[in-house]
Amino acid sequence: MSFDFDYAWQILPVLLQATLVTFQATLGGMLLALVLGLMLELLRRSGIPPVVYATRGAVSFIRGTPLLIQLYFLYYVLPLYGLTLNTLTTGILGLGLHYGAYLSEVYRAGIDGVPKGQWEAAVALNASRFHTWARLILPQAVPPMLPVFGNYLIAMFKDTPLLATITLLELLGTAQAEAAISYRYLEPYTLVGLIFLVLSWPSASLVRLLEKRINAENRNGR
Amino acid sequence: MGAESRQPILSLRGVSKSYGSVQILREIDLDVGAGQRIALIGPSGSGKTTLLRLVMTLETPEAGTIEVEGELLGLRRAGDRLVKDRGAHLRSVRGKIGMVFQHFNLFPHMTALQNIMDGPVHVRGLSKEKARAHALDLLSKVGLRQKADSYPRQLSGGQQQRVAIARALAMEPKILLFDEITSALDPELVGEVLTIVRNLANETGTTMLIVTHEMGFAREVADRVLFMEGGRIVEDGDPEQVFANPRSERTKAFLGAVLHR
Repeated sequence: MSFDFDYAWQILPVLLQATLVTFQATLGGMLLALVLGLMLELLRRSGIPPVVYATRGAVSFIRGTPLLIQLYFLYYVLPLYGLTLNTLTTGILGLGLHYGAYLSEVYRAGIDGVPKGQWEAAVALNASRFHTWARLILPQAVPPMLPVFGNYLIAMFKDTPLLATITLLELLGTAQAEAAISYRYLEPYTLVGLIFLVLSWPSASLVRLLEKRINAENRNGR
Repeated sequence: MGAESRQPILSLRGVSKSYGSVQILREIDLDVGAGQRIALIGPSGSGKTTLLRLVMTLETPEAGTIEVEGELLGLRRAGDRLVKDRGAHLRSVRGKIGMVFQHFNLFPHMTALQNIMDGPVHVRGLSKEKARAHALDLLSKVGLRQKADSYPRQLSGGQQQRVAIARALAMEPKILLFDEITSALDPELVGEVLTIVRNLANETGTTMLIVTHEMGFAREVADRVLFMEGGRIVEDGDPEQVFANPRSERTKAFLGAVLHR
């Protein structure tokens, strides 16, 4: 069986179209994960014991179970309890929850990296809790996290094919559908692999560049 | 002096603090009159810095009470018991106090001007224009008007500390705490920071508590000197008396050691 370039060329537009769905899932999932990760970390720092333990438990649970199982659960089990979401929303929710648990650890490390004196300066300014977080601590905690966020973004992008298992017609799902019609597997899956490669590679380089810039800035500082 | 008739601006009663098994402060009683400039001197570990940190609410005393203008700090009455206070009342009392730190603790993501404006705008609710004008005035006062748009990392230690002083002043505190503000500076930068505080002491009536190892500065700026050792205030008097004629043997020994180095 040889690679049929004509067939590959013919299905390319459909696959590129499907790439948009992959993008939507990735961006939606990342936005949700960024917000959720911060919320989880703030809850863990709330100092209210039941909240702290519940949050720690939830994070361990999500990190300790496979994304695939979580997606199945959201897609097949929640509707039994009357919660039916469309496929893309379910996918975004699954990715967001899963990666949110991981990002909460990134936030933790970044916030721990802010020197104690900054918190003390906030107290001396008599800043409210919200002011302390929003204007004084997070703006200096987040920049060093950006490269790590970038790496998780790429990892999440490469996890999106799992969404094919809950019938989302993203890249892999679309390729499967094409293959099911033509009985040709080499071309669709090769193209899927290539599209992922073409998009991930430059992104990874961008993240490395960002990392270098932030490190350089830190060397100038302090 | 008539100090009895006027309420002290700051008063500590039986304040104790320890870290683990080490007792840092032992039942401190202290009344500070409005406008007093107090230098706290003494060997390292004597509790000077901890005393300031308690007043700034950066630490919580194990025993005793602190009052600012007659209002409890960090505590409130619930019936006949005292309970921890974290709410609006704590902030209303704490707003009367400001602090300058040994390591400056400027916000690295803000320019000098933003560092000074942030509190007035977001804590005191001043308009941006007003806060900006005031902040620029303060920068001029500390001789750094031209550095308004510099980030802390672009400033020398002495300049950073001057911005930090301006930041504290912008909140218009009634009590200003200085915690070894020249200890982290290179020797040639100490002078510029001390000059600022000296001018400030002459120009304003702000109550100051100054922890310092600069004895000449303490003698010159303070109108009252406390010598601390082992978590107690061992000597309390005016600078002339404490420096020239210390009553306690310990003060004598300490001053002998630091002044004749």
